[in-house]
Amino acid sequence: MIRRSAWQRLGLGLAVAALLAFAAFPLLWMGLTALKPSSEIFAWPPRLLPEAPTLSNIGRLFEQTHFVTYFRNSVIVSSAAVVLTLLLAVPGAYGLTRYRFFGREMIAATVLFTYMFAPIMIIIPFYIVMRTLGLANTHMALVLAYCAFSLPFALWMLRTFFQSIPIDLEEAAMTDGASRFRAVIHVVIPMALPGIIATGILTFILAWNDYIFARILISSDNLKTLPVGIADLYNASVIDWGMIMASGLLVIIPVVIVFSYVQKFLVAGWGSGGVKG
Amino acid sequence: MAEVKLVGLEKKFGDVRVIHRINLDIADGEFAVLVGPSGCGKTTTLRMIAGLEETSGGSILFDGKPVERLEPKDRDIAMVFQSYALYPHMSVRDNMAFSLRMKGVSASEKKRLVGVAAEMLDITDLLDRKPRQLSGGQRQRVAMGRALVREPKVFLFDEPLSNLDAALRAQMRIEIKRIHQRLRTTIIYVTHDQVEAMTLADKIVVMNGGHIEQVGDPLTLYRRPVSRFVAGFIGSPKMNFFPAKLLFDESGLHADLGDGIRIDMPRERDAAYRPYAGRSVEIGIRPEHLLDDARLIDSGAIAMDVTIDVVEPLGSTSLLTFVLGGTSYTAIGDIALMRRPGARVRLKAAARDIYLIDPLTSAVVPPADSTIVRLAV
Repeated sequence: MIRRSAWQRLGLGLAVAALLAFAAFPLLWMGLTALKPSSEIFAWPPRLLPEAPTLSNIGRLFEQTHFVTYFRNSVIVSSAAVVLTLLLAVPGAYGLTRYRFFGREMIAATVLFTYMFAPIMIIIPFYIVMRTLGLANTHMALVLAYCAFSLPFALWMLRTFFQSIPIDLEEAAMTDGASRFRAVIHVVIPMALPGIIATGILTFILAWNDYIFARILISSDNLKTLPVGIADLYNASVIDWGMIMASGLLVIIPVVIVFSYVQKFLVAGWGSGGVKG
Repeated sequence: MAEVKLVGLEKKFGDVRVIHRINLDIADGEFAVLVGPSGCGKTTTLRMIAGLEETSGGSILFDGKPVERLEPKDRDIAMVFQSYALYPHMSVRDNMAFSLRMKGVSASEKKRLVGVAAEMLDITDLLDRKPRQLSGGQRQRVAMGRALVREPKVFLFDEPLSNLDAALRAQMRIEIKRIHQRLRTTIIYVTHDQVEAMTLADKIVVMNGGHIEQVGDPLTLYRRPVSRFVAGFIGSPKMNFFPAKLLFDESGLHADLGDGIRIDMPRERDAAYRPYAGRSVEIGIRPEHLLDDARLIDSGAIAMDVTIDVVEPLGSTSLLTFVLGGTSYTAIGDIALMRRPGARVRLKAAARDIYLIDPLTSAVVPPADSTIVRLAV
């Protein structure tokens, strides 16, 4: 442990508080606004705490919009993207780690390179491909898009993980009577679990937060995901800020819950993936 | 239990040949130790036997059946790794039961077999712990237990003791030997430590540069090494190799070591050594045969007068280092003589304890009448 003087600790505390306020204040404001009646939202001078807290914004969100549909769509698409990405990335990363074949390092490097393209650059060709395949305006198109976009980093992250698992363990399993497949299932995957969970979470967040793919690939209202659905609330003739803030609040709640639960895996993932342990 | 045969076994990594068509027979129930310096190919050979490394040529036979195309899981082997390779996410019990789980053994049978192995290794108390909660020695035991539970045809050990401290290593060595005496399963054991090889093996296989230098029981390798490499590798401290000129005159064959040191060759080796007369050779004498001991009788012994450079008392004896022609050599001294550095002493060796090495081929020239064996056994 590094010992710090009282002044240093005070300075550090203030810096942390400032950073926290900068990051958390908009969230706090969003949460509080969601609980204010319309009259208070536009009150001047603005007040931090709602005088007459109300759940009517949330109520209207459920009654007057397709929020539930959007929410369901987001859950379906994001979960499917996670499953598909992991189904492809786990064997892919394992192959890139354990099998020696011509061009392996080049493939690994190229994979990372593809991650450098901004979504906006590939969205139009991607849309054309999806339309040709007859998948435009389907959830499948979104799942494929998220999977395509998450795979490079998923492969890299998992590869680092698999590299940190001593090959002796797999070989021990094989001399213990396991096939390579069973060695992977019983030994490699349990040990890589923090990494797999971390990769899954990051994929989920990418899919959950995506706006641009969903905007371009989905046109039917009943197929829209939350980010697009919420954005469309702005297009109403009267912008209902209370409702928008309420929807924002409801969008981040599941993510916050999941994050707080899997945080330890995520930290373990980043910690043990990079450093040999 | 199985008899293991390697026939013309070969391994190449790309264009580099690391194992050169080796042949080896290991009898059923035998404890064979592959020993050699790092990079000699012993671990690669073991891994090919295990099926973890593909062969590039030749055959591996278990009880006469070729196994080189089989997956490791189908070879009926168990391997103990240098790193122990315990599954960190499983308890000791689950580690030991893993192979049984793969086989689909019933829960009660699993419990029984794990119990038997745990008892044999005295790790019954540790069964519910995770590997990270164990000391190095305990992990080693668990790794062995995991292999024992499998009741394989062949046990493979890859430097299993090299991560342990000296005391623990000696203890585990005895334990491994005891287990072998009890189970009589064929063991193939890789080590770079010649002491381990000598103490454990029924059969030592000395490897060097991807070749087998010599195969034999420990005492044969010690007494009748076929090459300079084996002579230097087996035995501790290392054998002394004196560069010399072999000369023949009216008094018979003798080696001139320079510095006025002359060693008379035993008469009975005349026939074997005569072809080397007039040539540069090396004379090999083990430190434990080159003695500074007042009790040694002069007759029949070879003597050389040297100046002691360093004295290392070991308790019962002391190691004496001396320098000849810029090279250090070792002899064993009588502790009672209390030698000091700078002392001039007369070292003696029995004629039978001398080896003649042909520097061109690095082969030990066999004494034609096999005196060495007859006298030494």
